[in-house]
Formats: sequence, C-alpha cells, structure tokens
Amino acid sequence: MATKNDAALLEAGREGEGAFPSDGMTAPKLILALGRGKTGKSTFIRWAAETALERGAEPVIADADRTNATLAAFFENVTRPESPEDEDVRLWLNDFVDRQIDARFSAFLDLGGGDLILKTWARDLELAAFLEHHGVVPVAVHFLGCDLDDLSYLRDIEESAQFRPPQTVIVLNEGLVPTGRVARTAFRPIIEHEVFRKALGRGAVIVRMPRLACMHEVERRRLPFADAEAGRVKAGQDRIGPVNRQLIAIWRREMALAFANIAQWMP
Amino acid sequence: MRTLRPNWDLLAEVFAKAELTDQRGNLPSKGETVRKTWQRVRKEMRERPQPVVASTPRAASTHSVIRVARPQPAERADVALGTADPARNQSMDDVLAEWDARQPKMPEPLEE
Repeated sequence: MATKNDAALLEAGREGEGAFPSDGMTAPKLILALGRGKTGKSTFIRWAAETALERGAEPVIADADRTNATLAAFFENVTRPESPEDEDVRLWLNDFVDRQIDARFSAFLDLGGGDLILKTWARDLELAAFLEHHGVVPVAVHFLGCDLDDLSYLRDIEESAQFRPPQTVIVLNEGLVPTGRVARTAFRPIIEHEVFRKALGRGAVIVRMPRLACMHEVERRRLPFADAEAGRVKAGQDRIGPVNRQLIAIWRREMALAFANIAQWMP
Repeated sequence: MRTLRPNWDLLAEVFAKAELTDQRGNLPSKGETVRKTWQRVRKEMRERPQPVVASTPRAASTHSVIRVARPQPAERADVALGTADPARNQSMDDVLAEWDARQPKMPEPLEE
C-alpha cells in the first residue's frame, strides 16, 4: 500500500518524468540544511519551499529530524522515515536519494540539529560526488548563530570532506543575535574563526538571515509566511495584527534579497 | 611645456577592475578619492627618512612588482573583517556592508 510519503514522491516523480535537465538551473537539487538545533534550518526550509512553490516548482520536503516533526506541521506530504533508528534512517536516506535520481525532483532535506547520521552517510556514499555524477546538484546550507560551538558541525563536515560541494552556503542567522547587540560584533568570533575562514576561502557563499521579531506569531499558528502576511489564519485562531503583518512582509522581502545570490541553487 | 592631467575617474575605473581596495575592502568609486590617495602617497614618500645604511644590491627581477598604496582606514576599530584575507569572498563583503549600513551609530557632538 502506498503511504502518504510514497504518494508525495510518486507525484514528484511524475512531474519530472521524462525530463533530464542538463544545466544547473533546471537540474534537480538536493538542499541539505545542516547545523545545530534551533539555528534556523527548518525556518529556512519553510521559507525556501514556500518560495519555490509560489514560483511553480514542486520540491519534495524530506524531514529526517528525529527530535521534532516541525516541517510536517507546516506542509502536507512531508516525507519522513518510519522510525528514528539509525539504520532505518540510513536506509530511508538511501531510498530517498535513489528515488530522486530516478524521478529527477528537487528536494529539501532537514536532518535535525547536529544529527550524526549525515556525517557517516555522506562519508560512506561520497555523497556530493555521487549526486553530481547522477546529475543532481548537491547544496550544503550551514546555519550558524553567534555561539562558537555552532561552528563544530561545519568544522566536522568541512575538515573531513564528508559533504562539501561547490554549492556551499553559510547562513548567519540574525535571529540568534542576543538582544542589545549588533550582528557585526556578535558574529565577530564566528567570522574570525579559522573554520569559518577556511570555508570562506574555498568559496562558500555567506548569507545573512534577517530576524523576524514576531516569528513566534507565525510558528504558533503553523502558518505559511505568505498567509501570515496576508492575515489568513486557520479556523479558530486569533487574527494577526497589521503591525506584525507588516513585519512579516518586510522580512519576506529581506529574505528574498538576502538569498538572491543563491537563487540558482534553489528549486 | 605641456602637462598632462591624469584622468582620475578613468584610473578609478581601472583600479576597480583590478580589484584594488582600501583596507575596508571598498573599491574606488570616485576619481577624487584616487587623486587624494596619490597625493597622500607622495607626501608620505617625501617625508620618509632616507636610509643611512647601504642598501643590499638587488638582482633584477624576472617580472616587475607593483605595490599599491593602501590608505589608512579612517577609524582603526572599524576595519572590515575578512578583507585582509587573500581569499576575498564577495558574499562576506556584502554581508559586512549590509551590517555596517544597518548598525546604529554613536552620536557625534554637535558643531558650534
């Protein structure tokens, strides 16, 4: 029996059937959100997936976060492993990538904060080269706050070359700047650190992720950002006031500008 | 005698294409900035004390070395991070410029 997850993948497969793009703009992409917990991975995927959907693309959203089912609360047809056990997740990842190569769909993959499984899975599979060989563009998107420890995941992935495709993005999440500090000084220890500088030196693209002061108003209602901006809430929810809607509109505009450099790496 | 005036705007364009920057990572955008930088270099060269020891003979290089004067930053504490790195990364420069533009400034004293 086909599960809901299978249905999402099959649907995406039909969309891409017969299409084997040869250039980077239309080739399928696998976007991996990487980093510690609560650094903005799921928020970014929500925004980027919404943006792709608005453009008419049909990305698959894969949520392998074993601690939270965040994305499933915001999107229908989010594909997930059936169990959180390491081997089950690994087999699910293998199957997911097999399907992506066959069906030529683009996908966002959220592995959860600091999940170790990516490191072994990417190393064993030589993931970046493997995907490129099969015409899928691998995109690593690392998320950092102001805490130096946020760099450890980037260090592990970069230094052991587990997953460092040419399409590497480092997102500096301004939403994690402590109150009363400016981004430049708060991120100084990060951007002066050797780990960061090395990634910079090999061509990683740096992007700032603007802060949305009323993010919790969107998250507690489980709304798409566009709906929140338009004031569309679910039945029984309280309305979002004009001020917060304006803040959301500005944030969406800033996100589009901030990520414009890597738009070609998105679905 | 006829003297030629440098076309500072053109030189600014040439330096910008060669990605010569000041210590804050900014490319020259105005000819006037280039002209003032050149004047400052000449002044500093004139004022520099001459060495009293004999200089070591230097073998001819197989290629010329061009050293570009870099103006000092207006405020040392405001030196842009990352611009001293040989591996310049435009996206980092863009983020720093964005932060600089948004950063609230300390108030300046009012002029009398």
